[in-house]
Amino acid sequence: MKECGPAISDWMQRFRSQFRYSSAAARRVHAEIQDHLMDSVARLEQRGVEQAEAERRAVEAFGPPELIVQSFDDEGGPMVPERLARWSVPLGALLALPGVVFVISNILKYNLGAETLYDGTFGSIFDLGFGEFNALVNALVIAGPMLAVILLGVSSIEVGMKREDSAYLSTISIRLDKATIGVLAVSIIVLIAMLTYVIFEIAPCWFGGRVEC
Amino acid sequence: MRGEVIKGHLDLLLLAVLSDRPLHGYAVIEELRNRSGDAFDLPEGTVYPALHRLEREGAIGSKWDTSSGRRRRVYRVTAKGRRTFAVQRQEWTGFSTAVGSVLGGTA
Repeated sequence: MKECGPAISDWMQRFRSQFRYSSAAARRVHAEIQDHLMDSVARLEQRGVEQAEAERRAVEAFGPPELIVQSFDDEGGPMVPERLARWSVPLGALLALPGVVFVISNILKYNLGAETLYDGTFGSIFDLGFGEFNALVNALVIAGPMLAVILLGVSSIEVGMKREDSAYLSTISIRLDKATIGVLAVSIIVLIAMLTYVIFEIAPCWFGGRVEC
Repeated sequence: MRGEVIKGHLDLLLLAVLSDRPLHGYAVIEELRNRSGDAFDLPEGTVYPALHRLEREGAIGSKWDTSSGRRRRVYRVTAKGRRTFAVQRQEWTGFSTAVGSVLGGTA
């Protein structure tokens, strides 16, 4: 790619010094803006304009850095890094799945008398207890929904920054779509069910007071 | 046309331009300029915050494209964006018709 001249370099430097958002979002915005300015210069040069003049016209047409930064602030900031936002719902659902299966299996066993998931060797997997070979599964059952709630919460938070006079005003907003709300609700319900199970079924065994465990 | 007038309808204009085919930012500005007969004279850079917001809202999507030999961020309308565009276009049509009726009745 052709090198930027002083007009574009100076514009980009001024913009970078004022654009206070996450490095991932900033990298994308910087790349987009630089591409735009270079395209603009190329078009002007095709019409016979000298490079220096083309760059001056390009940055003038683009608008001052202060205006563009303010526009981003007004619009709530740049797009969040897409990787986390795109994968948070399916990943959250996957993390919550062991807990969901555990809760359903216990409902089937204790409320409906169906011990399908407790037959044979598969059955021991859902016996909560530490120090046994199924400790990893137990950890997934408990930690999975917790991690799902944390992951979905973090990916839903947007932090914006706005300048007012000489001070910076930070704004925090939470953006939830239906899929995120659904997986969050299921994870929280599973966590509450797990907590109830631990309090009423497991804790009495750990701390004594119950003969049969 | 003053930038402040355009700003209130920028979403509709951007969705209209992108509804035909995916475009990168510079091409979006060019298309807006061409379709409006150079009537829209807003600072070119102000389109990017709006594009990012529309993407955050799910009305458009974007990805890096290198098919032209350079890496560019290309935007495209999503299904949600098409629904939004249809609603906004209908609202605008009704609004402009009503305004036209009022102005047409002014001596």
